[in-house]
Amino acid sequence: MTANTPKPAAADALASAATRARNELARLVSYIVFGLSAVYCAWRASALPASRWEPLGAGSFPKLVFIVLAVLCLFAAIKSVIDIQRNGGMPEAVYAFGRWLKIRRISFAIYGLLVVYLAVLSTLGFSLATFGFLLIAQLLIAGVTRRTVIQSVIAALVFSFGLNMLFADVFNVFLPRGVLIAF
Amino acid sequence: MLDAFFQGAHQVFAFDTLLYMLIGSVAGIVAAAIPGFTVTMAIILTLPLTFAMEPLQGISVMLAVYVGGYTGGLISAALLGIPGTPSSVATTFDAFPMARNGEPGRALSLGVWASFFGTIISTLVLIVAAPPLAIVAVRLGPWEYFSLIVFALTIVASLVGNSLIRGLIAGVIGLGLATIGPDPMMGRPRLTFDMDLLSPGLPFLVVLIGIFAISQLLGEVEVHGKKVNHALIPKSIDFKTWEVMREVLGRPVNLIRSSMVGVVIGALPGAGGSIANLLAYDQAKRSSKTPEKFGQGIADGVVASEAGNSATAGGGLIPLISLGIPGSAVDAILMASLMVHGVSVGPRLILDHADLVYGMFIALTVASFMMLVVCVASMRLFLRVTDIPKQFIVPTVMICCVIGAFALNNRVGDLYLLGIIGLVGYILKCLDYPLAPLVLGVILGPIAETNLRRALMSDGDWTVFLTRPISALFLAAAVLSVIFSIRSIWKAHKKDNGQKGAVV
Amino acid sequence: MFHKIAMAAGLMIAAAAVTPVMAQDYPNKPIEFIVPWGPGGGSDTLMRIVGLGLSEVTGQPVPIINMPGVGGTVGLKEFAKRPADGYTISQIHEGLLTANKTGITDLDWDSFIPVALVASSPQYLTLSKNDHFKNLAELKAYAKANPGKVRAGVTLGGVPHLHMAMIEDALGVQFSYVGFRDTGQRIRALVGGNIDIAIGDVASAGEFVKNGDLLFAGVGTEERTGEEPDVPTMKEQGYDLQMAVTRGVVLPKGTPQPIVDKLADDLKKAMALDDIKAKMKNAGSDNVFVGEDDYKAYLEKLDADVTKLVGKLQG
Repeated sequence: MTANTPKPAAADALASAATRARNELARLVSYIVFGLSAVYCAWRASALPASRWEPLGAGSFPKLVFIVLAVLCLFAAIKSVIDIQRNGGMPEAVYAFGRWLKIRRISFAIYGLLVVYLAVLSTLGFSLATFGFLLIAQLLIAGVTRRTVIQSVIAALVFSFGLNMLFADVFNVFLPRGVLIAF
Repeated sequence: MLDAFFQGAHQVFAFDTLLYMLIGSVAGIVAAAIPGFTVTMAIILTLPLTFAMEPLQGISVMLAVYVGGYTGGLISAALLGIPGTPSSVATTFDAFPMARNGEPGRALSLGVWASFFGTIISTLVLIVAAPPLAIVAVRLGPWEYFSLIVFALTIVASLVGNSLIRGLIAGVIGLGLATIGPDPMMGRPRLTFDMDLLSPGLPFLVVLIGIFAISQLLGEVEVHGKKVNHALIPKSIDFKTWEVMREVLGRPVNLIRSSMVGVVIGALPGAGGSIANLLAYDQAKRSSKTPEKFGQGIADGVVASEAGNSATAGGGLIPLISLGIPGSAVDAILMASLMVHGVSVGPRLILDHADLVYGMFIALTVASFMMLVVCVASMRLFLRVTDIPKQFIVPTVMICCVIGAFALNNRVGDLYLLGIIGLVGYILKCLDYPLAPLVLGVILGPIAETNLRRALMSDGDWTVFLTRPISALFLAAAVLSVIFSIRSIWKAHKKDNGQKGAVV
Repeated sequence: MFHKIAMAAGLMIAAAAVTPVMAQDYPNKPIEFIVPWGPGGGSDTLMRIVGLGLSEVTGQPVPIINMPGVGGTVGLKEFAKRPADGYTISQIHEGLLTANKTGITDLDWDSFIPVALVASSPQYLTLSKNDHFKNLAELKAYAKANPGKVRAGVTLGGVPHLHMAMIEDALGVQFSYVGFRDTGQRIRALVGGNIDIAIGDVASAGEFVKNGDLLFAGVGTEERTGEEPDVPTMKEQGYDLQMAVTRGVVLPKGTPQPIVDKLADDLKKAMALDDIKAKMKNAGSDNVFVGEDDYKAYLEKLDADVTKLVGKLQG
């Protein structure tokens, strides 16, 4: 097994068999999503114009790839449906999805923060946006206490304004500057 | 000849050259150790400085950055589970589990020694066999490249983890993602859905960071049961320098095989370190007596990947030194810096500038020793990373990823892509899709397509793929590889059924 | 803390509002040089040298910012959005014109202010070593007798494609095209015998010619070049073809004229520095400097040429 991310051992033991059944529903959804996207992309690719210079146009290779993907997804989806039925059906799976989300609440919160951060990066500028991101993310993970607030402010300052200065002054690499503030 | 050798040695062993090289080595290691920052980035930052140096001095410094960079990627691979550079993807497979099992020092040490020996072996091959190897490499046409990539794609079977079908789907998604953007022949937009964001395509580095780093970091803050804020790795352990050196040398077959894979892949212009580590890992796994232990923290996995990627340093110089053909982006920058100094890099380099070529051999060797010394001396410092609590590591590394993704092409659009790909990567990870095949697909897809189309433009006849001997050889190897994989999956399945447990 | 930041910000906004119109003290801060191509290539190397010279003359750093993508158009698109105050400059070459004419981008050379042409690399028709032809006349005869048999390495839709189409047109023959992304790849394939002819330059193919692996059959300049005095021009051989890749510095539309003039002046001084001249030569460019008006005239003529041949590039 070459997954680069073995989960902590305790959680793993609890998870194994039961989680497998629950995750199967989510996986089925992913097969369907990937399969349909593949069909759409294959269709788009086949609309690409042929080339005057070569036997294979721009569309041939992507078309081949996406058709293979669609077939693989179809195959996986069928297998998955059989598995879910064998393991006791839907209601269990829906309940499990709630738990699945709960375990990952901070992960998704951080991701949401990352999205907001990237969105405001070119308006606020690297330093300010990064400072905000780091501060909130650190407190989100560690929880708010006097100690963590002080630590987080310091770390956030160093890695936002400090990093930007390092890159701009030493390396001459200019990270996105804000519209409002020229840092 | 001896004269030129001493002249080269004299220049490399000058005090200021050695000092600059040392700084370069540290810079390369640090840059590569930070996820998102790459060797290429470090080299570009070094380039303007070398304009002011003597040619050999400039090249030596760049080689020091280069060698350091091929090792540095190991540090974040082992300690964070995130490949620090594209060439350390396979290092995460075993070095990270090993670190999580309480042996971070051993994991780093194994990687450093394997890198060191990999570089040395590749330098030896470079010195002894560069011209003939380069001639073979340059003769390879699009047919051979396509067949080689077909063979390389079959190693997906070694990377699939729990589920063959999800591994295949991930690999094909990778191939598909790589088709977005300008088509490799005509440069016309393809599958971009008229979005500015997609028009330059998905840069490989952005996919790599998004898929591995963002997903891994988000995974770190999942709350299983009680909320925990401790460090990522349980405890910091000794580096065990000499003991591990013996351990690495005790695997001569793996070491030499992986290094040769690195040399050969490195010598092929356009392939490079990002494939070599995966191929070397695959070969090590296949010839192992205990393939099921790969991925759980086996020393052979770390050695194969690190020896494989470091050996591409010497391998990449083979076509550069003997023919003046750069094997990778980094080699192209090396060549440009020589050209600016009036050194014409071409098939006559070794005749016209023998001192320079010998100097490069010496510099490469010196650089690998420097890397070793720097790593051994500073490993304790790096291991301190394991003491830093999550709340600092996770957001800060994310910022580094953002900077790395931006600094690559200075495009803000790439950052939005990073966000999207990061989410996709995290979801795929949660659903137990293996991620390595996806990255492999993104690397190999464009090479396969370009060469397939180029081959058919050169000659419309499909049978040429079979009539050119080297191409036919690669295709045969691909077929054998598939047969071998099917057989071993079937075997594992049979064993598994005995103990119950479905392999989906 | 925030008070200070706000104050600093206020000052900077004020400063930014004042600086652009003052040409006397331009430049008084770093000039960012957007190179719309990746590191290690021809444009990158040459423009790094130009940046070095400009920095020496003005005393301000000139950091190179590589912004590759879609045939150099991604960087130019970003560049067009930058403030027109002279503190961001960029580079264009023939590729922009072909990209525009073949419909890859809406940007054209006149979307910017051409300041000066600073680099020109003569292009050579380069032949592989083969049994059928060793010079232009033999190539013509062989290609006439075997239409579509000669494999020509080009970048489809790019400048080499344009040059190859010009040759095809002039000789009245037909090649078959094989696509490559850059000159290095093409020359490699030519040396390996996987294609028969290609467009090359001294920087990438000169050493192979010296070593006897490749042949230069003609150069697209008015007169023979200093580096390869034995190679006849295309013109001498009866075909009036201009084949060169020229690179010039541009500013965004709307930059005040005094700043344009000052930059042109500084570039002229930079390109006259001995060290810069030597480095440009080493990197495969002739030492040239063409000022604003002449550069514009050159681009206009080029525009007409490309428009004439564009039909041959569209596939």
